[in-house]
Amino acid sequence: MTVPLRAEAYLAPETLAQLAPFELRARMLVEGLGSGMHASPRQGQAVEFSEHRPYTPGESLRNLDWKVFGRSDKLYLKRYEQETNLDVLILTDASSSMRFGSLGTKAGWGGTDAGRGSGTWTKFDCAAAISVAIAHLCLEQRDRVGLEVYADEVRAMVRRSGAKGQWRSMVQSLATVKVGGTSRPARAIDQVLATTDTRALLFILSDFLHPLEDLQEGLAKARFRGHDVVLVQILDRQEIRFPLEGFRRFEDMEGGSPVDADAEVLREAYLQELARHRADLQRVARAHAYDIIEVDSHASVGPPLAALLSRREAAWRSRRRS
Amino acid sequence: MAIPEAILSFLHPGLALAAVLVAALPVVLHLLLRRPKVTAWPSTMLLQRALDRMRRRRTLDRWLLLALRTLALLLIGLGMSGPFVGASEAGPGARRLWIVIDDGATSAERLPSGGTSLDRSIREAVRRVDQLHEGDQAAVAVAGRPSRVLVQPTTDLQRVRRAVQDLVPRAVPTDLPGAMALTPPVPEDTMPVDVLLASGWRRGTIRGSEAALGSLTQSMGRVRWIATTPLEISADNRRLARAQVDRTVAQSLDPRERILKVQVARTGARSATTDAIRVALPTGEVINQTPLAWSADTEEMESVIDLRQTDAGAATVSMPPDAQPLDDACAVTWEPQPVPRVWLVGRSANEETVDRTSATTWILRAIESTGLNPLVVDPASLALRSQGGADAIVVGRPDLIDAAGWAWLSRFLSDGGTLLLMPAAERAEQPWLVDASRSLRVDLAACGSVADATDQLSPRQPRTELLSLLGAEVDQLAEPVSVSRRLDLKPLSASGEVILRFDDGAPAMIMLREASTSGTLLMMAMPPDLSWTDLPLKPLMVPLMQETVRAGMSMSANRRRLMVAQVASLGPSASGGLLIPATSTMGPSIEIDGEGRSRSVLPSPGLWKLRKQDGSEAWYAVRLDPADADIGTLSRSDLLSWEQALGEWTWSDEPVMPSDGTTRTESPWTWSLVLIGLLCLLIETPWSRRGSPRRTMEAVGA
Repeated sequence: MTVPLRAEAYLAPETLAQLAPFELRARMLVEGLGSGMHASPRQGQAVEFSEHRPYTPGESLRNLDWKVFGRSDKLYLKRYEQETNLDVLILTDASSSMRFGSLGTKAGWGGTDAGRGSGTWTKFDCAAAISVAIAHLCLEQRDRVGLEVYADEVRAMVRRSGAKGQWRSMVQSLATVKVGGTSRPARAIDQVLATTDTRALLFILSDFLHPLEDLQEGLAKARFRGHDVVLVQILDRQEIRFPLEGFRRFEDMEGGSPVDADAEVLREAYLQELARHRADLQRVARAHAYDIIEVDSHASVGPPLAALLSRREAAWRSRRRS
Repeated sequence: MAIPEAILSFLHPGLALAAVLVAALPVVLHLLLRRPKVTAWPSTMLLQRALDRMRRRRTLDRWLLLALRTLALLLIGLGMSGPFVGASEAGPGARRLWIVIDDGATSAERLPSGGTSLDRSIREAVRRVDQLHEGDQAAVAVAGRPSRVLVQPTTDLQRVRRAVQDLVPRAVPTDLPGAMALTPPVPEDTMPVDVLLASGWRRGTIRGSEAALGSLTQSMGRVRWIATTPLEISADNRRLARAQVDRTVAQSLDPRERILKVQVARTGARSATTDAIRVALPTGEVINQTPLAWSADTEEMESVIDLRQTDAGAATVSMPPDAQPLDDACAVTWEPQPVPRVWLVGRSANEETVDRTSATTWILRAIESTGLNPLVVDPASLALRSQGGADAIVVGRPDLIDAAGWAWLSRFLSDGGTLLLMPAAERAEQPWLVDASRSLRVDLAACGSVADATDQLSPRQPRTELLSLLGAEVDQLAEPVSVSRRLDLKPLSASGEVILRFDDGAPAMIMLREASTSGTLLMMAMPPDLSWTDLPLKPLMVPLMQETVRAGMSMSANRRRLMVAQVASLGPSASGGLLIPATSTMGPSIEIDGEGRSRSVLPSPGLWKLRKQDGSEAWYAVRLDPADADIGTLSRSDLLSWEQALGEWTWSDEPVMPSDGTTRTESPWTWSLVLIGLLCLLIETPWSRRGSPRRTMEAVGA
């Protein structure tokens, strides 16, 4: 069955408007093959002089500044900054928990496999919207962007590319992928790292409602490989506020043990546990100097993304000045 | 008899059962329908952690909420089912007992079995108190007037017991309705109160109290009355029915001539026996002891005792005490002044001939001839004179008295004086009547018209206390007296006692008694002036004037009898004075307020001396009405009016009916239970919903 593709369903005009003032810049220097706007650590085929540094015996003489040597009889090497393309990899969680949503949608509004089944705006819908927004922005900047939809394994993948049809491929992939299973972020990160030899910016979109040890392991590997990571935690408002009442059996969408409880009685303790879990997640992110944003799936995705990009833009400019 | 104890029951047992079932419903629903609502949740990891942390608290909360909801329903149901406290042999339910105990005069009756009627009441009251339990309340009120609360409601039953046991009979009337009215009203939704009416139930006990029962019943709320049984013994008793100092005809010859008339009566056995009447001065000195010989079948006797030898002005008359000792003695007072002081208010004009002799002069001559020594006082100077100088005043020229003079006469009257008024012979109009009416607070102005009429005094005059010494002779003395002008006293005949009457029945002389004063006011329709009447020339003139003065004074003196348990009204001249009992056992001295009234009721009968601010003294006889001490028997049927008025009535020798036989009065818990139930619901609501934010429904693209 052909799934109708409604790009506007994922990239609402207001979201693009909120993101437009910003350019997606990697906080770290990334390697790029093309001529993009991102600073590259490679200084061989430099376009713009950056600085001098003393020559160390054994180094190549290729970048030696002969003019300085002629005038001062001292050996200095020239260094250049090169604007490069950015590789952006978007890892979107498609585990069962992402099927959860408590916000109703209008009929025929489109959406993903998760949203169509329930008629609600699921966390996966929200994750898909953020994913395509980021992809659109990257492609507009002539960056290469790739997508990996994962759960307990990689469910769908769109290889990195800056081609014109790339964005449509990503939307198609997000709209049709089956959402289910448990979330294994470490495995997904491993797979990305195995296919990426250049440093990249990784967006990991998930609710992160699982033990954080697995994620921590994956992030450590990404850090070791020099990648930058942005964690995007997406939670439904019902999860955030827990406005439920009455005696209920909570059945785990990822197959965990069910919980019988009075919602009113449980509310306070649950909210405390949620706060504690989110604090732990932030601690994990900060341990690797990664960014993290929290998104309420009922709210517009524009403001949190805009805040993230603004923050990263400011950090990049500050670093350039220094 | 075993004492019934209070247990909880219901006016509407069906409702109570329904309440229990309704209360059980949440429990059943909770246990049977505890099927949770299935909710898909992204990850139960956090829920499980939260649940582990607060599992104990969650369970406790759920059960507490269940208990609270159940309790709320139970309380509301029970409250609406009308719980009440009935009587039963089982169960120690909390009780309240209000003891109304009769310590009035009839309670002093000595019983053949020993002790007094009050002792019997005390025994019953103590027995009831002993049957109360820890935490029960009791209170005591005494019915001897003025009735009062002796012990406020308390759980200190030992204190209640002591207070009851310390009671002694008091020589005061019994006011059971008054004491019953002190019982706090019992609201509809509170427990009923047992009120024990402990009395011997003699005739004097309920005298005049029936009228108070109606209003009492309305205000009492829900009370269960328990009464001691009436004493059925018909006691042999003698009583001093009357004791009064009287004048004799010989007093005009010897001012010290006076007699004490004592009437005694007896009930019960009428055998021949002897008694003695004893007369004692306030000092205790017995001045007379008169034997009294009862013959068989005699119920009443009168004894006359000569009091000529004493000017003490007060004495106590007594008989040997018998079954009712409080009706065997009484106090008497008399005017100690040997010669009454009489003032004639008027002026003597040119009186060369009999025709021109003024009324003042005719009166002066009449009084002087009887051994009295009158003083002629000018009307204009009356207000300048000090009070206390006169015992009787005859006003011949009222038209010359100004407003201050009338005010002075008003005080004289209030202080117990005798005042004789008559029209001014010199005038056709009598405008002074308006001033006199205003000052003396008697509507004399209503009889202001003077009419010319040829009339005579009636040959059939009324028999009055004032002219009692004249006896039937008054008819013969009055018949020849003719009148040519007279004042119309008919408007006063309704409020006064006619002393003399015209042939046409209209009053010729009238005595007006004002309840607020102890004095005697007399009004004549004509002055003894020949232009009005030939009275001055007739034989009636001298005895009329003499008796008016002497008997009026005597009557005023008799009015100085005060009744026990009442506030004494002694007139303005007594203000600031002190009433001192003859013996210290009668009670403390009582101050007199600015209006001449005692600051408290007179606590006991006997002789009391009034000491005025100016140092003068006067004796007052405080008496207990013998009817209030009457120990005549009452049957249970005689108390029917009480029983009917109070609705619920149980004799102390009857078993108290269980709840079906008693008035089912709702307990004070009814609304309390409902309110507590509602309070539980009020607590339950925020408790069960605490922390819940308001849900808002949103939709993407809406």
